[in-house]
Amino acid sequence: MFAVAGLATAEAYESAYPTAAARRSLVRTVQNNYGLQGLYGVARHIDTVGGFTNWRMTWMLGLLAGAWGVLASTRMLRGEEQDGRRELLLSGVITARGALLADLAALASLLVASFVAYGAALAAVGIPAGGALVVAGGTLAVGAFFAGVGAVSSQLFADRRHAVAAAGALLGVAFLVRVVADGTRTLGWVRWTTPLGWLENTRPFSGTNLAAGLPLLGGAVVFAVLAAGLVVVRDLGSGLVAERDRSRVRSRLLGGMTGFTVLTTRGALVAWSAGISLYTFILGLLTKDVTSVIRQQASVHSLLGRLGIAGFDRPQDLLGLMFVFAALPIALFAVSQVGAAREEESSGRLDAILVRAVGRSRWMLTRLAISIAGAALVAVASGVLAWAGAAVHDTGVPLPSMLTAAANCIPAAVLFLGVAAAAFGIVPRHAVGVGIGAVVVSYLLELVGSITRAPGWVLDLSAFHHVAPSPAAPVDVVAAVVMVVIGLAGVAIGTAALRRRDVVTA
Amino acid sequence: MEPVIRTEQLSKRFGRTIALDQLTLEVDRGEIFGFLGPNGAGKTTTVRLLLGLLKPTSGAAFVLDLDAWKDPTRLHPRAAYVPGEFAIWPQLTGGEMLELLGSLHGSVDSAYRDDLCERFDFDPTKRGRSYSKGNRQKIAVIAALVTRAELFVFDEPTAGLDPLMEATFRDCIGEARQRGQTVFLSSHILAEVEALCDRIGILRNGRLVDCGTLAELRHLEVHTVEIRFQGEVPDLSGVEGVSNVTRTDGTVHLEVRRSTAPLLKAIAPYDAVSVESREPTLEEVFLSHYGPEGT
Repeated sequence: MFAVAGLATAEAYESAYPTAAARRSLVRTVQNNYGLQGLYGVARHIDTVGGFTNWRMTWMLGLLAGAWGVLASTRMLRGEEQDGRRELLLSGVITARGALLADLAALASLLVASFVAYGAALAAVGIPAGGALVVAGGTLAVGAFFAGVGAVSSQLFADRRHAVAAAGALLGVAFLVRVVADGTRTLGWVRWTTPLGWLENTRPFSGTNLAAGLPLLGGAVVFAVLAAGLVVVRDLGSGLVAERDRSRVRSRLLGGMTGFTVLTTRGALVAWSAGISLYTFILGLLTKDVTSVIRQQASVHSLLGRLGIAGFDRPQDLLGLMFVFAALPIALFAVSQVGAAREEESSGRLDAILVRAVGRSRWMLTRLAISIAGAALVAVASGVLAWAGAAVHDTGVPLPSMLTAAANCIPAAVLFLGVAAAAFGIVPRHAVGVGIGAVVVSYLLELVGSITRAPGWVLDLSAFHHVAPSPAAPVDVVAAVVMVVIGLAGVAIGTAALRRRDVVTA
Repeated sequence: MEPVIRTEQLSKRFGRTIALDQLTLEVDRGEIFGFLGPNGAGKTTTVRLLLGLLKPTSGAAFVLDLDAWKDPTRLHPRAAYVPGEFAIWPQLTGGEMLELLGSLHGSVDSAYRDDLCERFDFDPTKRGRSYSKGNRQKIAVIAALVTRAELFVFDEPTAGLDPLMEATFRDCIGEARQRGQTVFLSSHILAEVEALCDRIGILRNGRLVDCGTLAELRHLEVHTVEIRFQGEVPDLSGVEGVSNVTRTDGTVHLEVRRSTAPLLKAIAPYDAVSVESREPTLEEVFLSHYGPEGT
């Protein structure tokens, strides 16, 4: 996936900016645009294929590599243990430390293999081999760093979800700090405080600084050693952070399916809302600054248009772009809720519910209705926080238009929830894979497709292509209705299929 | 009277594996029915079919006069189920789970629940993830018993319970019997089934190989007989139903299958000082279906 995204961007750049003059003009435009740089990172040497590809792709692929590292290491080091598989393994000749090191070695070899594949792919499209290797190495070193963070958090928390949340929060903070560092004129030094900044500071195509990337690998090693040290001072199945194991009975929300679903969804809802809203708040803060810079430049609009982004002379334009970005995590939240439903089934807990006076349709529809309401809440929170961020600088964007922009993200979330729900009904074991796959493919199609000027029908396949950049553009009501209808059809199909199949535990 | 559980040629396949093969079975009201079988025989599959969690490949299960697959929501309020391994909600306390399961079921007798918590020595204030396997199982058992359902379906309910709690569980089943509740008890703990059950079904590789009261099951099985003779000792190896004859001085050990009449006729002319016959235990009955002879 990394390789394909890199390839497509590089190709697109060649065709969009064939001449030196066009590229110089692009450089001038972008270099004064702190909003764009906040999103993508500082633009260095974007007048070369390598520099441009690096700028457009590395911020996202670095983030994805970090997320992969967190998920992979917590699944191996905490998920296995929580599911009770580790106990069996450790009752053999393998020690806890040995098993941890073997898992980390497996992760490391996966990362090395990805490094070779990604580097080779970049080099294959004509990016200088040295720079290509630095880009690939840096990106995957971020993966290694956050795999290390995940390894340590797996020692701290007995529950995999808490381990993921802690490591994921660190990744989120790292990203937001980088956005602030790159999106402002004066805070460039802050870049040195975040792993994603170290990745940027390797400068693959403009005076390569390999030393900047060393803390990534060093950090990965330090975390691995720390995890190996911690794993032997704790009991199997427990974490170093003691969790409260007693509490008073709260019967308020336990009176029925609806209350109970709210109770179990609450934590995820708060976490996702906080993460996404923090992102929209910071970008809201940056909006006015960015827009004023753009206003001073006449040639900007057309160039940004060629980057696949609408003109930027109003704050709404940047906010519109931001909300199209925000639609992605909101859709992922919706899919994750179908994943939670599947988890309820695979663990056997659904049995306990269905053998009581709760039917399958009622269970599924209650859950999904609350998931949709949750996605709407996440969207509204991100809209309010974006407005609040913008309001700090008196940007002049009214709250209703921000709420409209936020609401505009909901239909895509409903659509992907429906896709995942249909998969849950038909192929329960692959519900999450299908749902997340649909979101990611759709998003990459839109991202890569709009840069490469893919034919209209290809872009039309992507749901995100139909999310209008509100508030910059009016909400595409027809598209929104179509997405909601498809999503609800998916829910109906999934519910009907669930009624006709076995309850499948793991 | 219509039986509480009635299955007709109930079958379930998973891919190519036949988990349950044409099970036909009836359990009457007020009966404690033991369902025996080793791991993988299809006990859990049967239980999940009876509860409408699995869709029959062919045949049907009628529970309380309702088709378990087609009408589970009308059936479930009248039945209660304890799985072999109860999956907890790690973030909820034991008390919260009991509250939740009770309100999802409909009617809960909270005084009885507190009473059961005490009898099972269960602390409801702890969070789910800190309960041991036995304590997790207690949640499921208590949640089922408090419903006072017409039918209890238990799938190896005492897995993980200590002997003390097992005894408490048996007491509760005894009380259920007195209240006229019906119990379907799937188990591989023979002592439990022998002590509790009115009728027993034995499942093997997805097929019901034997079914009846313990006396009926024994009837078909081998009795061990020891006869002591004074004077002449007859050769009994040719007698109908007799096998494994061994002789030490005047004492003969042998096994008799089915009726003992031909044996008694054969020894009548001789001077038998004592005849001791021992009935097979459930374990012997059970093993005879699985040992080399049963194969």
